[in-house]
Amino acid sequence: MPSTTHRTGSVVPEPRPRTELETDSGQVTRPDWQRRSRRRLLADRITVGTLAVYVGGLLVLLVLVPTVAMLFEPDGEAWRSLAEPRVAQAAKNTVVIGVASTLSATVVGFLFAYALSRPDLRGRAVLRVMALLPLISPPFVVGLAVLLLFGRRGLITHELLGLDVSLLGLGGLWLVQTLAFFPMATLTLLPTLKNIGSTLEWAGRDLGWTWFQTFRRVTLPLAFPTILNALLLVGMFVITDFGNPVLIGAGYQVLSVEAYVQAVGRQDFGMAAVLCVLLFVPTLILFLIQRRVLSRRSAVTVSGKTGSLPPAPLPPMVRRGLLTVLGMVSALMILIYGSIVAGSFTRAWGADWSLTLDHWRTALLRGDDIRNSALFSTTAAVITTISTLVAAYVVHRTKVVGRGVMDGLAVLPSAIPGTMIGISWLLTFNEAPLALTGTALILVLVMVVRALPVGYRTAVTTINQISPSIDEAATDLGASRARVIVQIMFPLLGGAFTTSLVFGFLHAINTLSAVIFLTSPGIGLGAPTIVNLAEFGQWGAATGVAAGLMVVSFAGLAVAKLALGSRLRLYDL
Amino acid sequence: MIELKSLCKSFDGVPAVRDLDLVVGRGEFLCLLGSSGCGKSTTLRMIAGFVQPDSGTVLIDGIDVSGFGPDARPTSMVFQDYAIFPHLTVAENIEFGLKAQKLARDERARRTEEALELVGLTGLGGRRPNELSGGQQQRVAVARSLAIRPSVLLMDEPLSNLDAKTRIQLRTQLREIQRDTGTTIVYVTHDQEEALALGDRIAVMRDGSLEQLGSGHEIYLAPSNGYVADFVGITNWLVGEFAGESPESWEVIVAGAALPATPASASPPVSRGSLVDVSVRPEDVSLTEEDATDGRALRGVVRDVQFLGPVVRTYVDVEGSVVIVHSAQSGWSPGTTVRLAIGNGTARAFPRTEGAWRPPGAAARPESAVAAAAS
Repeated sequence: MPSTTHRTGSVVPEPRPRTELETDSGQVTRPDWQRRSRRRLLADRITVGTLAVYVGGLLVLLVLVPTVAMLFEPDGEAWRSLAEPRVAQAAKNTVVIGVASTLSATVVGFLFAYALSRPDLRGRAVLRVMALLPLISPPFVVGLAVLLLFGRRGLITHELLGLDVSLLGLGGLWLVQTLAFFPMATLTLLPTLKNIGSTLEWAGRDLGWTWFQTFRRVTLPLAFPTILNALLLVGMFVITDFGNPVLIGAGYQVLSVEAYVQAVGRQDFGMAAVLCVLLFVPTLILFLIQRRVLSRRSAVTVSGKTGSLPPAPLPPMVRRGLLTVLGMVSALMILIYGSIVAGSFTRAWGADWSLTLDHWRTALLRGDDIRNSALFSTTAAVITTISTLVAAYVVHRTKVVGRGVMDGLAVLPSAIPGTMIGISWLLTFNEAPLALTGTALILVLVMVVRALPVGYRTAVTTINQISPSIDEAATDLGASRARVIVQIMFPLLGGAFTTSLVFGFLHAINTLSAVIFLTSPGIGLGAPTIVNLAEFGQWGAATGVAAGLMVVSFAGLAVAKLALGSRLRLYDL
Repeated sequence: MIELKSLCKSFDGVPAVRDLDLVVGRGEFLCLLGSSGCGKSTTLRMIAGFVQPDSGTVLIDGIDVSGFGPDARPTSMVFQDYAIFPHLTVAENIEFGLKAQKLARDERARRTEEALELVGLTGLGGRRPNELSGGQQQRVAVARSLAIRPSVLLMDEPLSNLDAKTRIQLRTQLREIQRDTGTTIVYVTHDQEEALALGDRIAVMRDGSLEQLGSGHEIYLAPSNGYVADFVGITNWLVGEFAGESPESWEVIVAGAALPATPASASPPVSRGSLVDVSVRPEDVSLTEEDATDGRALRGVVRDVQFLGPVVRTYVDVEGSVVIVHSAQSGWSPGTTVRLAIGNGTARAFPRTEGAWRPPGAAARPESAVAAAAS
């Protein structure tokens, strides 16, 4: 216990010269920390102000302006076209396929996540690759492959079975979207299923419940908020999907394709805008619900305890059933990606099955497109990464006015259908002062917008992992804002920088719906070229470009993996 | 030295600090003690400049620092989570603040060396933070703060992330460093033992206001109100009836026994027969064999005896409330009726005033039972 010898004498304030703050007389000396601070205050304001203006300007120009402009594009007549049966049919189709694909993709995604969360299940490495493939390659590659396999002249339907039917239309689209989007659900669900942990499962079994009772009473209820989140996320991807329906929808028109037809085929931008807005409303609602769901913490993430017990074994029946279903899905996936590779070496799919290198040569000659894709995506990834890190810093580490708006605008593009972004950009940036149409810049910038939400979320997660006391400590030790940012924040964000770069690159290179409106004869990109070639039945060339594009994606990933090793945490599967 | 003048701060309309006045002398080690949410950290952050007060002023060395950020104040903060820059070496961490002061290279090196020596980490300047233990990291943080020679060192629960042994070690080291450097320290903690061990003076806070300011002795032995008595150390609460007063002491009837108790300073006048709360420290109670002839003795029944190593803790039931007794030995077995003797002048009486803090559970105690026991 301390003695009572505290220094009573020193408690009395000593007389001090009044400071300039109070008197303004020139001769008094004030401590140098105070002399410095005035200039410092201004310098810090300028630093933060510059960053905020950059982020705010970027978001307003690239996200807010085109979206708002879109809402004012249709005239009264265009709005009246909402009543047209064609529109109603497309809306109905979108809802039907949206609900069907969302449910099936989430179920398959759940099965994958459940299997991946159990360390006792063999063959998880294979499942992991299956779940990764659609995340790394463009989603419409699945559609292209189904066209090759189950189309009117498809390998399986026509050649092997000799049928004159095809899987195109509703059924095929359902299959394709399920396979293309289930990894989104897996990615969302896996951390939760892992976190539920074996302890709770054992506890349930220990109380005398069967596997099924434990699953129904423990696992499902605990995972429910995440399942809901996965459904909403997959739903947004499915109803805004453009590549797959345009390739294999056949007569089954959905809103995104109908908008494309109106804009590109009929040059009726008013009508196209109406269709986009019609699609934007439900995605925005899903997006807002998802934000609500995410803001409520689930019990699982709070506990965060991973059981140290080995997992409770699955009943043999369940294990066999699970592996059978997942094995079938995996076989289908192998067939799909295999057919793309095979197609790129086949002279004329469906007619002449001889091997050739022609398509690769064409793809490389048309290499402009692939090279542009690689180049523009890399540029877009760099811009996105820097901008999102700055945005996350401004929103989460400064007190700038309008942070909430910036936060909303940064994630809003994930709620805007790609088709809508494409058409709105075409309208907004077509004339002075923002005439960008036909330039490489507009393609890079639209890729930035597409990659923005994911990049921003990564940046926010990373910046939140840096304890606020780190930058407080730096400031407290006398460092200026600029010095804190350059010497503390930048180095600490370094790891996230590369991860975010790879994410941005993959998002940019795989984007189709937004860029398809903005490419011009001089400047093409891989993804839209694939769709255009496929629409004209040039399977060989289409698969050649698709394979080429995937090679570029995988190469980018490999470079990052080599550079970072295990520090690259891209998709935590 | 620091002067806080009627400092107020609210967050979203919820007051965190209310009208706080406090003077910390040069070279003093002051502990801000309180449970979470009492406003102690907010007070510290207002001194550091991370939080600007809604009203009131902060003077450091006689200068009003209102409106200045933490970088412009001659204070330095040590954080609960160390806040060591993980990408810099120990020496680079310490030099970080020296660079901001634009010191020459050799002066920086000299001061870094000096600071490392001060915290007993000589030779570890080249290490990375992740190669250090938590205790070492926190010592780096202290060195980093001391190197810039702040007028005031601010510490926000710096030891709470460490294990118990390291905590006590660092505590002692911290006092040595403070004695050697003569730095003024304001230290925030929720751990009353830590506050007693470290502080020249302790400021006990509750709900954004100062409850008591004084040395550890004063706080522990002469708490100015029931909250301080309850928060600092362990205490037993008994309900009694005011029966009369002498100049220094009150007579309180507890469970039929007359007990002399010292009233808290500035206690309002109390009328005969009104209820007061009496606080008795466990070490101030001794147990003796029951003496049936003495009708005025305080009696209880032993419920449980726990051997804790340095002390034996005996739980005694006195008219339905449990009294904890600390002693060197205890031969009592549960069920025995014993007599409780309370050290002269050690019991503290707190009259019940409107809106004042009341000991937990006290309100639930049936007043009638107390009255019946008294009669």
